[in-house]
Amino acid sequence: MRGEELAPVTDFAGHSLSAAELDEVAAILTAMMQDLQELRDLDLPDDVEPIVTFRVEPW
Amino acid sequence: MTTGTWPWRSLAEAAAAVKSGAVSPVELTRACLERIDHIDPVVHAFVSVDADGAMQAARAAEQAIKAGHYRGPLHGIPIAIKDNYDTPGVATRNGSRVFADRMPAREATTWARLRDAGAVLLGKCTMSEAAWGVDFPPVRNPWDVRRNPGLSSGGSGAAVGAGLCFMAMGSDTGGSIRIPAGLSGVVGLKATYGRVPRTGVMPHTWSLDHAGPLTRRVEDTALVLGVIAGHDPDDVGSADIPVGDYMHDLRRGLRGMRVGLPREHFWDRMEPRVEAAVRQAVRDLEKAGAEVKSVSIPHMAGALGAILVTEMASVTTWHDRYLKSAEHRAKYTPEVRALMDAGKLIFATDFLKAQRLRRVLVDEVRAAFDGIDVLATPSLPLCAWDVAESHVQIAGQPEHVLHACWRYTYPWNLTGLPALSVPCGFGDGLPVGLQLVGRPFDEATILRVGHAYQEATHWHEMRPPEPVGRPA
Repeated sequence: MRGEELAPVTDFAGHSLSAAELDEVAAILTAMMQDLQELRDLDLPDDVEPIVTFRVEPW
Repeated sequence: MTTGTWPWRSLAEAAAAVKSGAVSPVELTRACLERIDHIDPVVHAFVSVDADGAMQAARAAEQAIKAGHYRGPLHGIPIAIKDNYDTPGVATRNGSRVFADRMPAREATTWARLRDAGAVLLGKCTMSEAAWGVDFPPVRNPWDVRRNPGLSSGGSGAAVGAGLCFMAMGSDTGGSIRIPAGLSGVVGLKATYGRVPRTGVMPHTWSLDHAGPLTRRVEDTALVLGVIAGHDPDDVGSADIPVGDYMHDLRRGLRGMRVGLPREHFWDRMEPRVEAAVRQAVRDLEKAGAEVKSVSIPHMAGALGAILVTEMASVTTWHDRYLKSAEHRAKYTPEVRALMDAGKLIFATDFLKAQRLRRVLVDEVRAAFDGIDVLATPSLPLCAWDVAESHVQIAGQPEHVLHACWRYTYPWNLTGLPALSVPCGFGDGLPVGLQLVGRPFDEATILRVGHAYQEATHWHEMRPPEPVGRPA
């Protein structure tokens, strides 16, 4: 992933960055891509709802 | 006993001596301050020391106790607090130049509870920038000052490990209490999410943040938890669930205790010296009467992506107003600023997938607890690394230290379960930690197991070499 490729995305996010900053962000995203892809590839059952407000309850 | 040896005693011993009049809070505080003067120029555990305020509080405690107003085991005990806890009158910087001049108006609930119990605040502990980046000057591991004491509560771990105070408060979003505890050879507790209030602790990741203590003995942690635990209406994550007496069952031993060892994830990639120490610790638990079983948590191995997106999106959201200000933005280090910028590019779909996985993990862990009382794992897969190192070799493969160090701790932030790190040996002279994980709000059981382990072993009695005069 190259920093310049991210420019339209950061602009869309309302968070425009310099070329050097885009390169740093690209390096971080590249490093975490394998873990992110693993999350995306998980096949979770349809009835699993996200925990939107995290609370722990006694069992 | 000379006052100079007091900082190495347990909090429980110091408390008993204060109560009986064998030592005064002023003597304890002076001994800690002298030791900080002597050791901290090398260790850098403290970002600020309030000697005058500490001596004033110690004298007040001494007078109150003499007048018959003893408040309990923390009365007159010198402690330290991480630099992200709000303490009016003492700057709270969150380890960041962005907050260099921040004087909080309110106090953290935990600090208020500690102060009301009579604790004496020595100062604030060094922490990583915004609980994420590097600390400057770098905190040094008391066991080897060339090495890192762990993130981001490294100052708290080093302060306790170097015998500079009897307890230090840390905070833990993915392991930042248990990691420094493991690396610095001390005890660290992340209680159940919601058990210890986070009010007045600068947020990092709302659904993962925990506040908690680091001490040298499990008994000391139990005493502190009894003071800081309990519902706080100002913390939206706080649980309104009664707090028990953590000392009540502490000495019941291990007979009949069922310890689960997860088959997945926790034993996959670690340094052999760590595995040897932790496997021996499990055998020691068995020898002391525990029954050890194997359990399964199938999705645990793939959870790193879930905490990454949860943390990055949350941190960036909290810091957004500062990132938008050119003046503030320039005060972040480039490394932390880039992480926060990257957080802008976390997709909502990935964030929600992560929160779905958290539900699956909670259900799987709950099922794994059917038939066991606690889980046991290593606290970390590696020992303390050189401060100049960014990568280590684990199982023959290079890995970034920040990627490796939280591998066994972050699952318990995703699930919110209580987790305790206890010193369980050494690898090449560097501490190794055993992590004990309990059911929700069952801190009493992991404390009981940890205490029984310390009663059966002597790792917590080992002291690091004096670091005076070694290169900082």
